[in-house]
Amino acid sequence: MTDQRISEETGAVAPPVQRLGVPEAAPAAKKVASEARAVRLEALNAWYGDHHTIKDLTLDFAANRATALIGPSGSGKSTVVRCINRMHEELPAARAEGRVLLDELDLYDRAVDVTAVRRAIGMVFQKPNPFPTMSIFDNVAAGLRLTSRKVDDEHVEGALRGANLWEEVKDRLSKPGIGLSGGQQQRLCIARALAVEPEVILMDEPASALDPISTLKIEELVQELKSRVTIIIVTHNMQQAARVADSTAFMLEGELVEVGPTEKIFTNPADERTERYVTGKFG
Amino acid sequence: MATARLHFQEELKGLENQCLGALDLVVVTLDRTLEALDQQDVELAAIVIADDDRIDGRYLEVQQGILSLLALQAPVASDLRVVAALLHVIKHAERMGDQCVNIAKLIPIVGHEPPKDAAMMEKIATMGRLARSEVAQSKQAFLLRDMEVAEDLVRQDAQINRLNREVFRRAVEIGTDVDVREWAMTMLLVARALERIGDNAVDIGEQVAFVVTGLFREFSDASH
Repeated sequence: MTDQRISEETGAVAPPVQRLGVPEAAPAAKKVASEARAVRLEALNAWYGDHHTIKDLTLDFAANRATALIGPSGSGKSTVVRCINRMHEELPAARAEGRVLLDELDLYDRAVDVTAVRRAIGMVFQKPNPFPTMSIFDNVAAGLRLTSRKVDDEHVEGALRGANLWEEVKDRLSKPGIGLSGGQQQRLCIARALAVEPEVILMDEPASALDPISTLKIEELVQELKSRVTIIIVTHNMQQAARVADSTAFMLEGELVEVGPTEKIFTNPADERTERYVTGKFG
Repeated sequence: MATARLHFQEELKGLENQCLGALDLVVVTLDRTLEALDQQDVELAAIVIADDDRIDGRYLEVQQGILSLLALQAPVASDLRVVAALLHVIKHAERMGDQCVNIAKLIPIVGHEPPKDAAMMEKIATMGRLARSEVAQSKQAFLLRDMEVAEDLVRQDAQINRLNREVFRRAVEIGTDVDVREWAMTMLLVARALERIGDNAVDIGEQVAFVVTGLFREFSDASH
């Protein structure tokens, strides 16, 4: 099997040819239906060289829920999501230890194919990154092609509808994806991620480069997508976390300070450090 | 870590001072009301009625300030609880002002004749002193975020409630003379207004507890 990498430049589409948890030559392994699944981090540690960025993190992300990771710059939020879909280990001198469980499946188990992990766990980045030479249709179809799946109009339409983009692009599917507005490009990237039917979508500051209306569209989309996938969203915008997330986790210097229902975190946090961060008394 | 949102914190503090200042206005108004009642001073009662516009105006200012703060600054956590509590506090202040007006409006009805029952008047005067003390104490409790001071309001309020019941019993037993009974009924309304001011002060105390703990609970069960 080809272990094809996912880069931040080329987007969220992973090219596995197998279902996660069903390695080749492992016919007895259970098949995984395409539906939202819970993610659990157990004693996760991550390093960039000697820099210990994630420290013994244990955290649950419930299925069909949106969980926001908040915290100041350098607190380890983005590293956490990169560990979840195993992108962290692709960086030079970067390593991770501990367990990342997708339901019961340990994603760091040697038998698990990393490309299958990335099919199951899509990612949306801060800056929209459609494939520049491809049409809108082909951008969405790219994931299907890379996973050797049948590309049909219905599937592409379904992904674009899922990303709330269909009505805006249905008459110009052959036009370049980069011709869309920033907000539309970001939803195109979400459609591309949805096309391969992931169980989890990671969003790393998905609206920070967008105007307010496009931001609200992305936030609405997050609410809708929760019925299909588990969402983990990194954001610096605390109002955004308050609007979209069911649960919020506050990280500081690589450690989890507090996690709880978003309403609790933003009205009556238990930890003084969370209180000081969300009220803007530091950060 | 750098300290952030200094402007917002100053704005919030200013709003709190403005709101708690309304309780100072209530204390001044209550003093005048009690004096007008004691002296049967109809002119001072008229001033109390006219001056209620100041408390109403303060209510509108604070409410507008809270709306602006919510819209522009999106406060969260303890800041949000303070803002929510201020909205309650200013409403209670406005209602306490209205109760003073209710009493002031009764003073011309009582007329210039001497009080019909000295014992009842003494109980009402005591209720007035206790109500004044409660209002001032509720402000201190909020300002200092002091739970003990806030919960002590219940003790004082129990005294007001007891006196209110005694005033009621006295009115029932006051006799058959129509003028005396009418006077007693009017004084019952005064006692009721003072009792409500005490309740409003306790409600402010409950807001202190909400700001400090994040949990709302009634200090005493009004249904009993």
